[in-house]
Parts: sequence; structure tokens; C-alpha cells
Amino acid sequence: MLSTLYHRLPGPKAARITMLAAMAVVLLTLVIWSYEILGDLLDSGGTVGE
Amino acid sequence: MIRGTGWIFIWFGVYLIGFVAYQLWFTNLLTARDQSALAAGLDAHYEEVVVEEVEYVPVPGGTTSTTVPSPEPIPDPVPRILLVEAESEVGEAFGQIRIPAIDLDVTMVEGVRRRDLKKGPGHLTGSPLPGQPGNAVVSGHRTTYGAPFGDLGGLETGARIEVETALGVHVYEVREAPERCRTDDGLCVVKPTDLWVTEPREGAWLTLTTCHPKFSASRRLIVFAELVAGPNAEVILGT
Repeated sequence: MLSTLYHRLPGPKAARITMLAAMAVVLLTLVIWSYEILGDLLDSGGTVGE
Repeated sequence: MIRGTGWIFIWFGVYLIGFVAYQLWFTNLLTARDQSALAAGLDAHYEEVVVEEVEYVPVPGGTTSTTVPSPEPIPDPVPRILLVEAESEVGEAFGQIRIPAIDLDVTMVEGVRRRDLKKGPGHLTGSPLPGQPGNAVVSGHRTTYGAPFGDLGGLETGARIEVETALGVHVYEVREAPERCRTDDGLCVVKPTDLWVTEPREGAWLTLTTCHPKFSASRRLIVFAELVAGPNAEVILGT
């Protein structure tokens, strides 16, 4: 899956790796952000009226 | 088509496993790191914080301030001097809370924003600081970010809570849950919008709030504790 994506990306090898790394960072950020939002449903910190 | 659907399920499973690991393990690591840093800076905070002496004028029904003159103060021939410490910046450590009954000993921060509570229990800005007259409100996580208030439901009436601030150690005792929020098992459970639990009270109180039940943020578990000893206890209680 990762190699398919790599081969579909345009440009030289270094540019493709950079693009893959950037995509991974964006994906990880989105995943952690979604974990934080979903986490509030489990435990929001216990504040009252905030 | 079937293969694609299979991959979706696999990635969703990976996502869910990651979610559980993040909430129940990784957030604890983050909080442990923050707690170490906060505890290390606490002694310096105690030395730097400004402490003032102000005249204590009790107001019927409770007050959050000792410096605002009441229109109808209770006559008191002998001035009662209260020690008051300056409030910390939001997000900074200001004291420690210790509850021996549930083996809790953590550093508290000022403020209850999401990022404050990730560090440890947070003091509701605007409510009096612990050790002051009125109702000091402290909130904390129950299942994630170190779960400082994870075992709050196990506290029994009379349990001792110690709060250390720049003034010294303020000792509180857990009181019975009020009738209006008492459940069958003796806990005080309210809605997250039930602001009455944070309202000013006569005397000096510590109100701890956390999510209820565990793994849900739908309700709040409240523990009320009353000041029984400490630097300001005699002045406030009038003993």
C-alpha cells in the first residue's frame, strides 16, 4: 500500500519520500486530534459549567 | 470490493486500538512528565508568592472575597486576620492535594482549561483558593491523564483531604452528600451544568469534581469537604 502510493507520486526519490513523510505527519496529527475529541466523551476533566 | 472492505475494517481496528492505548496509557505518560516538572517548581513558587494579611469579615451565606466590604457586615469587636495568597497564573502549579484514603498525592494547577487539566487537578479560577473562606473548586480527570480523581467515588464521609499551598497545609474532611444530589450509594452525582455545586458557601469548603461514571463524561461526581484545620481555620471557623 505504501509502495503503491510511493510509485504514484511524481518527482525524484527524495521528493517522493519528503511527500510521504509530510502525509504521515498530517495523518498522525489528524488521528491524535480525533483521539482528543473522542477522549472528551470518555473523560472531559470533570469541570462543572465550563 | 470485499478486499477493500476488509482493509477498511482492519484500519478501523488499528485506529480503535490506537485510541485505547492513547487514552489509557499515553495520556498518563504525558501527565507524569508534567507532574514531575510542576512538583520541581513548587518550592520556588512557595517562596515567590505574595502573602498578605487582610481583615476577615464574614458575610452570611458565604463569600468568595474577604476584601470586598459587605453592606451588612456581622459586627466583630476583635479583628480577625486572614492570610491570603496571590492567585497563580493560569496553567501554573500552586499547591498539592493529598488524600491518604485513595493514595493520592499530586500537584494542582491554576485553571480548568483542557490543557490545564492534562497536567493535574485544576483550581476553578474565580473560586477562592483552598484555605480561604467560601467554596474552593478543584476539578480533575477520572480515567485519563493520570486519573488523579479516579478513586474519588471511594471516599467516605470524614475522610481527610490535605491541600498544601504557599500558606501551609489546609486540612479538610469529607462531608455527607447533600440530599439534592445523593444517589443510593451515598455519592453526589449531578449534571455537568449544575452550577450550584460551585456557588459560594458559608465557612470554608473544598469541592472536588470529576466525571461520572468512569469512562463517561455524561455526569459529574462531586465531593464536598469542609476545612477543619490549617493556617486560616481558626479565623474562618471562629474557634
